[in-house]
Amino acid sequence: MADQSSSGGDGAMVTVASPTDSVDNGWDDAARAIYSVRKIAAPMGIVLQPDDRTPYLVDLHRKKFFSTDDLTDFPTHPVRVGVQTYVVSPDDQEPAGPARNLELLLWNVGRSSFHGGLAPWLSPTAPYRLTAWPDFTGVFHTTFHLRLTAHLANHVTTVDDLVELFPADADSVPGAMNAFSLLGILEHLPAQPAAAVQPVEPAADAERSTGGLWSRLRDRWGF
Amino acid sequence: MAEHVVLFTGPMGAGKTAAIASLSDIDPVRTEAANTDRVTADKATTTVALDYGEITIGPDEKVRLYGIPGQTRFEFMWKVLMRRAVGMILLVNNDNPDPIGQMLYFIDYFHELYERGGAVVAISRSDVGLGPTREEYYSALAAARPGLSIPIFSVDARSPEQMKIALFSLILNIESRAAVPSRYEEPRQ
Amino acid sequence: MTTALHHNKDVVARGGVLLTELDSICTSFLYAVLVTDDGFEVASVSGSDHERLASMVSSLQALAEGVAEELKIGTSEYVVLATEDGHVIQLRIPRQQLVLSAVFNKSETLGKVLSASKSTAEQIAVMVETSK
Repeated sequence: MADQSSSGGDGAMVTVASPTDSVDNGWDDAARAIYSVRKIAAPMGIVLQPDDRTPYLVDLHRKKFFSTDDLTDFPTHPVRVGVQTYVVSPDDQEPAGPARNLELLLWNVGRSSFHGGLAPWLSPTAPYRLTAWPDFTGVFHTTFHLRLTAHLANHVTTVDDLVELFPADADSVPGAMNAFSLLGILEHLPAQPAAAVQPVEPAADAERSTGGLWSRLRDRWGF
Repeated sequence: MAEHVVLFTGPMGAGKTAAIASLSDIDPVRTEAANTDRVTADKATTTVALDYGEITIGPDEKVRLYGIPGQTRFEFMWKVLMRRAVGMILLVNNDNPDPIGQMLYFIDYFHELYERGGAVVAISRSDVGLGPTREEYYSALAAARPGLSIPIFSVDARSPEQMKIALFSLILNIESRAAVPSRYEEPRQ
Repeated sequence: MTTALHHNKDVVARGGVLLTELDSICTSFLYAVLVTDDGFEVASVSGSDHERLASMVSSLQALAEGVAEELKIGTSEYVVLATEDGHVIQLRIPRQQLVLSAVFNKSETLGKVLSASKSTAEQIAVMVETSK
């Protein structure tokens, strides 16, 4: 195994996936391609073909994807996803097929890639924060994703710290981070010397300004 | 009794009344009058004092939902309604002639409310295909008012599920902002 | 679409005349404004910043009517705001989406100015119904 692991204090581990992990790469190559195209801001489109299913044409420039598949039955564990890139010009006509919100696809790909591990371009010990929230009125999410997002939007935190802070959902932290990264809303901050202040406990936050209203409202609505 | 007042702000026609109706346990109290300004918003009625709805959390706790009248002529009501609020959901209709300008205007006006609690921007009518993208709202906000922590969502104000997510996010964000800085951050002033 | 009443020149002009008549029959009269339900000024006499007052009148009327409806005690006939130095009387123009708000000092009784205001409101209703 070529995995890198980092200890999260009390033994919590974050796995960083390696590109040579297995033949069954699932969404990994797709995630890498999306990350690369976004990073170099290249005018390129990407065709993703999971197994023998309907392809997705990803247009990062227009922030849309084109497919007859509306993601209601998204294949989270395909054996292989074919990835092809192509050059697009702003003058090109939009591809055929219904145009859909790209955020929904990127969120799904991010959470389904790297076998529950962290994308190789992310570090378990680097400080991150969010510059925006995913469009939670559109993307599937749990209350954990809302809590994680609220925390990371307001506090610079490492992945290892997040694993500690959300022990019940620790397995879901890397996938969410991958998704944030593919959405282009995860900011990597320069490493700073650690101060004496410990990471914030999300549960403790709730007791401050609203007296823990969030958890009671969640119970009230049965979320 | 514990009460938490959430204000629904934004321009006329953004969906404030609908958003409150989506969330409220009770039939909302509305103060609507016949709209004579069909140029600004082509709808039959407009709120002239306030909208009111509530969510009962328990026997001694309610979330009170107040909607402002969107037209600036009613600005005196904004001040009245802002007093007890802990946060706001700012609705902006994406087919507004200047939706980003409207967002910044209301964020500035209700800045005290943001400081005291928090804010969420809910973009309505983005399904009609007009107006800026969500990313453009974020970019404009970051450029014009750097350092603010405000979630921005697209919503259908008539959808209880979507408005619940907006309200949830507002409360979570308020609670999270109130927390002490992490070891990687400068202490807040 | 029919012209909004605050854009109807006939209503604006004749409304101003009727408000002036209210001024002439009440020595305690300070100022008055006639507004649409959604807070646009149709006509006014004396005072200043009618635009702001028009919006406040609209809000107050909607709240008063909302309370009356909530309590199921019939429609609101008028709203009186009594202060140390005067009265604000506000009433719906019968059968119209218009509200009259008039401000008086305390040199006359509330009954007198209320009666005069009601009479003016009725005259405005007839005027609007016969306007061009």
